[in-house]
Amino acid sequence: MFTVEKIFTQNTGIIWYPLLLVAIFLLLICILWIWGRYYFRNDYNKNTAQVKPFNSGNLDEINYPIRSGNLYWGFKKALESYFTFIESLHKGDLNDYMVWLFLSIGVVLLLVSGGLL
Amino acid sequence: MTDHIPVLIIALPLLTAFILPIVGMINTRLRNILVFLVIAAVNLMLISLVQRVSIGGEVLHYVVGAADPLQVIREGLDFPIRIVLKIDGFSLFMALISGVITFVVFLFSLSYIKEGERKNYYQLLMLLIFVGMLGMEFTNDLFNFFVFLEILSIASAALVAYRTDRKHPPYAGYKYMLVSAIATSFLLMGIALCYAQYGSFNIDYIHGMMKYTLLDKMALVFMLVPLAMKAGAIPMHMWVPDTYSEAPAPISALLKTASMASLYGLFRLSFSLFGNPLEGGGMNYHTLGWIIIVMGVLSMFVGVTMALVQNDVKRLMAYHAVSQTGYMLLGVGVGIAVHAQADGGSAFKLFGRVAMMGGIFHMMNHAFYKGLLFLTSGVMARRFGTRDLNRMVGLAHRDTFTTVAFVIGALAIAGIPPLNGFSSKILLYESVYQFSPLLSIIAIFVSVLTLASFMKVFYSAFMGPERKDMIIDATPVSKGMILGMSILCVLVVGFGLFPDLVVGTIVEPAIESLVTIL
Repeated sequence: MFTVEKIFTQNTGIIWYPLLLVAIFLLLICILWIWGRYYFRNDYNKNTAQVKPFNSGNLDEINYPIRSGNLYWGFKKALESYFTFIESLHKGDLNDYMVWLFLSIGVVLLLVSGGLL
Repeated sequence: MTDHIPVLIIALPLLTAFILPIVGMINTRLRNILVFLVIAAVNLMLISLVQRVSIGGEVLHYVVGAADPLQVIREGLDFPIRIVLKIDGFSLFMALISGVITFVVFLFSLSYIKEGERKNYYQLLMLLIFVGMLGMEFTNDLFNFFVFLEILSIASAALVAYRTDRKHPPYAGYKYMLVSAIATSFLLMGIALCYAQYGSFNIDYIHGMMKYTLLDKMALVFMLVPLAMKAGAIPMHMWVPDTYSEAPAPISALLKTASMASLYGLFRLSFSLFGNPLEGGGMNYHTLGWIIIVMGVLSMFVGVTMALVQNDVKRLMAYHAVSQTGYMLLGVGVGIAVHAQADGGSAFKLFGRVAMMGGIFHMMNHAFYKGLLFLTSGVMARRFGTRDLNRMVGLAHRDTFTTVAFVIGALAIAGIPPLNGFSSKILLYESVYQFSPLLSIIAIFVSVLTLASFMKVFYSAFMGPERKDMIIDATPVSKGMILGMSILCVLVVGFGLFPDLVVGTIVEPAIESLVTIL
């Protein structure tokens, strides 16, 4: 019978045992927990500003999260020209949808029938 | 009785759909019980076929309307007439996906859709989508494939436009209907070309008679490209975010599964109708494989980058649906491309088959984790009264279960082990790497961007302080909604932990029935 492990071993030597992976993960969690009990810091004062994230001195808890629209700003800025182009193709115009369908049918027909290749 | 299972699987929900409004007028509770029993019965019938079809390798035929439904070719004839249903490993695999998702969507919708929101029609249309999917997957007749696709499309358009009291859903439904109508017109043209040449709609018969003329190639393109459009492949994907985002959340999950029925059609027609690429004569199958690969890679990349910049949670998820469709196209495209190589099929046996396995296994995994994510998006949108991520915060304080379900779905779609997304993606990465390392690297990079995109959703909607003033609907998540999400969570985790069981039982038979010569 086919097994995933066989396939993976044949191709790249990777052996994929998910249950073993989960067991190792749980073991690491246990080690970390025991390690933390003895060596992690526990000298902070609960329910004080010590346990709260430092937000450049801004104490406004309600409004400090970064808005979704501002996340990955740098990524979007670096690829601005790509996003300008790609967003211009997604304007929601039905005519565009049809043009792409007809264009695709034409190009694929030429390719499959041997007209271009 | 068991001989009639193939037709019962389709007829039961179809007939129930017709009587549903009457039952609903008499008693809504009775209507819910009836729909529950029908969907559960269909699922049980599908599961009962696994032993015979997937494990036993049997192919079931059923001639609808014949005196002897099990006799495919009657005496005195050399080709089958009437409507023939055919259930093999691949069609059963797809039907199981449709069955599970419809069941989950029904459970989730029980309280998510209120009685005052025309629930009779909602459940009726939901059952018709189910019938459309099952019919497309079981029919061995091209014209009936078209008919079931139309049933699916019309019911889907009506459900996309379901919230008629709002501004955008009717427009989205209209868009979906128009796009579907144009796409299925081309499909019908392709079917007509086949009928004109071979005088039959029967897929097996046409497959046996195929001459690979220019008209055949035109028929192939007229059928495959519209099906790729219905599946949401680039560059014909633009309707996907428009419609998925406006439909009710559980219907978005169902629409995703419905679009995979079109993907099934694409794969099925590529192999079962237009023959084995190795014997394809004048058909340029290597080029066809590469066309599907290019569509897949573009779908992956453009889908995920567009998702990254979305602030509407459902549009973001819809773009991810496009992106994930790319993985499936990539896997099967590689399979088709190497199947056509003049090496006696050795490359196909070495890695092409695994690539197809990854692509097809990903269809099932994607249906489950994307279904789960769409359901959680329904909870998010209802809580905050908006789909805008900029106006969501701190949901984890209130909805712990939804948070856990979202995390499971998000990690699965990003291909994090040991969840089901990883199981199919690792099959793809490994096999596609042997075909072209660059394609595999792009696939891995897209997974990284997928994780980044869902981290954005998690951070925006679930993290941060609790803001009771931003909550519009504080109704607790109902038991039906929790049960629906729980089923998908279990499947997502279970398929990740025991992938060989799933692959060996239902995925490998699906490949064997699709690719006739291995």
